[in-house]
This record gives sequence, C-alpha cells and structure tokens, in this order.
Amino acid sequence: MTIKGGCLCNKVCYEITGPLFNVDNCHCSMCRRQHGAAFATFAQFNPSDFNWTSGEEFVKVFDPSPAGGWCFCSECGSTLAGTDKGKITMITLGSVEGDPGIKPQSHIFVGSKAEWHDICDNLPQFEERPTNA
Amino acid sequence: MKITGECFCGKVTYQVEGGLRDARSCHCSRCRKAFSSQASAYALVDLSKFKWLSGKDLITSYVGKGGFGLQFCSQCGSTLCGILNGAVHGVTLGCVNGDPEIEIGKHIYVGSKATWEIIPEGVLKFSEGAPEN
Repeated sequence: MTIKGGCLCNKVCYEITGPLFNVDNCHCSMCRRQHGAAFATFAQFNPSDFNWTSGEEFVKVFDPSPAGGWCFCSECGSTLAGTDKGKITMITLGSVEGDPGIKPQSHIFVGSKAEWHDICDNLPQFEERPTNA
Repeated sequence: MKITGECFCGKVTYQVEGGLRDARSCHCSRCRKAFSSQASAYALVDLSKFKWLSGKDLITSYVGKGGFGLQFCSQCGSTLCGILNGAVHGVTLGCVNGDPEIEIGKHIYVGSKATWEIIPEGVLKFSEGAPEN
C-alpha cells in the first residue's frame, strides 16, 4: 500500500511505501498550538519508506528541541511531518489523501487538553504518553 | 474580556478585545489540510477589536479560492488566523492562550470528514455549511 499526501496549496507532496502505525490524537499544548487545532493526529512509519515527491524546496523544518520538530510548507503553512533527531518519522493524518487505512487508537496528553474541547469517543485516554508507546 | 494568542515559537502574538464568537469546527478537505488535522477549530473576531502585538513581519499569507486565506508564522508554521479579502476574519482556537470561554457550537462539512475521524454524537452538525452561511 502506497500512501500519498500533501499540503493545502499542493506544492509539497510525499509518499510512504509502507504501512502506518501508532496513530494517536495528541492533546499537548505544543501540538495544539502548532496545528492551531483542538489536537494533532500523527502516524508513524518506517523512515526508509518516506519520500518527498514534489516541492521539497518549499519544506521548512522547525526544530524547537533536538528530540523533535516538524516540517511545514512555507507557502501555505500546512504541517506535513514530524521529525525525531532530524529524521522524518511521522506524518500528520490530516495531510494524507484518501483513506490512510488506519484510525487513531488513543488520546494522549489528555491532561493538557483544551478547555473548549470535549472528547466524545470511546478511545483509551492517557494523561501523558503511555510508557509502552 | 481580552484574549491573547500566539504561534508556537512565540514570535507572532495578537490580542482580541471583547472575546470570540461563533466557534466552529470545519471538516472539509481544505480545512483538514490547512490545520493538518481532522478538522479546524476556529472562531470569528471583530476586525476592529483585533490587533497584532508582535511579529507581524514574520506572517505569511496563503489565499485560496473566494478571497479566503490563512496567515501563519513563517518561522514555526503555526496557523494563527483566517483572512477574508485581506482582513482578519477569525482565529484558530489552538493558538489562543488560556481559556477563550467559548465552545465549538457546530460542526460543518461533516459530509467531507476524514475516513478515520469519529464525529461525536449529540453535536450540532451539518453535511455542508450551516444554513445561516
């Protein structure tokens, strides 16, 4: 299964040639502010399965800490991927075209969630990141 | 009440006098990419009560169809506000500091929602735009 995705202005596109796994809805303050949304949904994959297929020159990397950062389109602002020690290891599920073949499995950092957002599904909730994730 | 907001890196900041109104979550394909998330989280402001406090020179605008666009921090990628015909129209709730004392009152374009999203029961939702729009 090849997963394709891209940004809002469609200048930056990517493909992932292997499966996605470990999809979480993250409610931490960093993710909320970075996305401007109620929470973020990231999916992991094998880093060797990832390729930019167009517009890599428009990709801006923001690394607030050595442990992690993200890549966004400098033209439209869509956040496309998350990095770990400089390597792209996650994509935002919102940037995937069509059905990614996987759904979020839990809510993490629920202890930091926005006051204005209520979680209304039955997925497991964790105050922070579960130790086995 | 006075509301403040900022991007992830804190360089771009704003304030809104008098609060936010008409908070909504839009599940259309464009909003999902703009927010890189399952849906937007967005509320309207009165232009006369909105003021950039810092970092205005770091803002990049992306304008799509119909004159509606988004403004994001060129340094960290946070999407801060929506613009209509060049003027600030609303703010992304994820970039608001603290509790904006507002809740999302409606979910729109749920007919376009992502395959992986679970829409909560009991919320006001519309397959496309809300009737008053």
